[in-house]
Amino acid sequence: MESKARVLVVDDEREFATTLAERLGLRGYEACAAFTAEQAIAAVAASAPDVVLLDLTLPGVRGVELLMTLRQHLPHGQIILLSGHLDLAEKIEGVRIDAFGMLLKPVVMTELVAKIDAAHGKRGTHANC
Amino acid sequence: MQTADDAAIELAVRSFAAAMIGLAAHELNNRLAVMRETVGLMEDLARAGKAGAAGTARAHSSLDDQVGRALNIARTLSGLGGALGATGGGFDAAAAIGDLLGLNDRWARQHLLRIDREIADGLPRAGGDPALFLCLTHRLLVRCAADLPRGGTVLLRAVREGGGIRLGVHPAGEPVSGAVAREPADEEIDRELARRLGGELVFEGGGAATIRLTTFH
Repeated sequence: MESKARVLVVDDEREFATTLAERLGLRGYEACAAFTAEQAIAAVAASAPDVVLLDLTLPGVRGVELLMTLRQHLPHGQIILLSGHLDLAEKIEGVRIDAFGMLLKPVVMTELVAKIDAAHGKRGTHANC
Repeated sequence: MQTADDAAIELAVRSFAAAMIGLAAHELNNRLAVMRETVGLMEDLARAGKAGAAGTARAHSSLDDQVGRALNIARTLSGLGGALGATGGGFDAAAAIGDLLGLNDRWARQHLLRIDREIADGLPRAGGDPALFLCLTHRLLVRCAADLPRGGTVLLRAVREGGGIRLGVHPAGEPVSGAVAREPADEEIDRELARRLGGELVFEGGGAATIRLTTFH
């Protein structure tokens, strides 16, 4: 049986990111959190997580640009977009740049876990959904 | 000189309202997300037999903080709703600026922008439509921010002047002068918003502008 995904939660809402990472940890995922674009890029370069949960509205950076940068550093991992507000342009760009899917905060844990598992199962194929 | 027509003004106000509702929804969703994860973690830990008094107290404190922040958003949204539905009677410019900045807090953080305000005590009620005032002030704020370097500051200063109110929207520190090209049509919409408020707008270069408002009679 395949092991659970290694997950990186990227969100400037520190309480959200750390709490979500802890909850994923309790479910058997190896999860950690990054709070800035710089931290996210460093974490992806260092540990190549299987799945990145990425908030598109980090301070000081356009979410789509960060998504493209992470995608370059993570050729085999999957990126799931996570935001309190997704506008249509971001959705279209997210699909174009090969995000695995998008979830609106607040998320439902069962839906998030299903999405992470599906992304982990498709790791390396970059299929959109 | 060409003037902005009714359709352009209506579109500007509707775009402003849509942007503010989007920002508020975004912020509320973030507050709800923290609350949901905090409660979820308490449940997870209890189920795993790992819940402790310290963790529970921390969670309660976090929830209390998030509820307070959500309430602030609800109050500023309520103020915005009142402004958009106003049908006369003038408005409190200081309160309107407070609501506007409250709603734009996330936008400012996202753009690494600081917004300072100096609002004189005892300003008289301003005349005109508060929705036009909020829309215009927001447009000038965005315009000013576009000229600032990363981490810059915008200063909003409102004082009593003569029989009216003067509101300045100025970059604090070094603006990236002339870096952002201005659309003449956009500036004409700004001027027309000021005219319809019964006031006057002056662009001062480098993203700076001053609105002069009349008082409510």
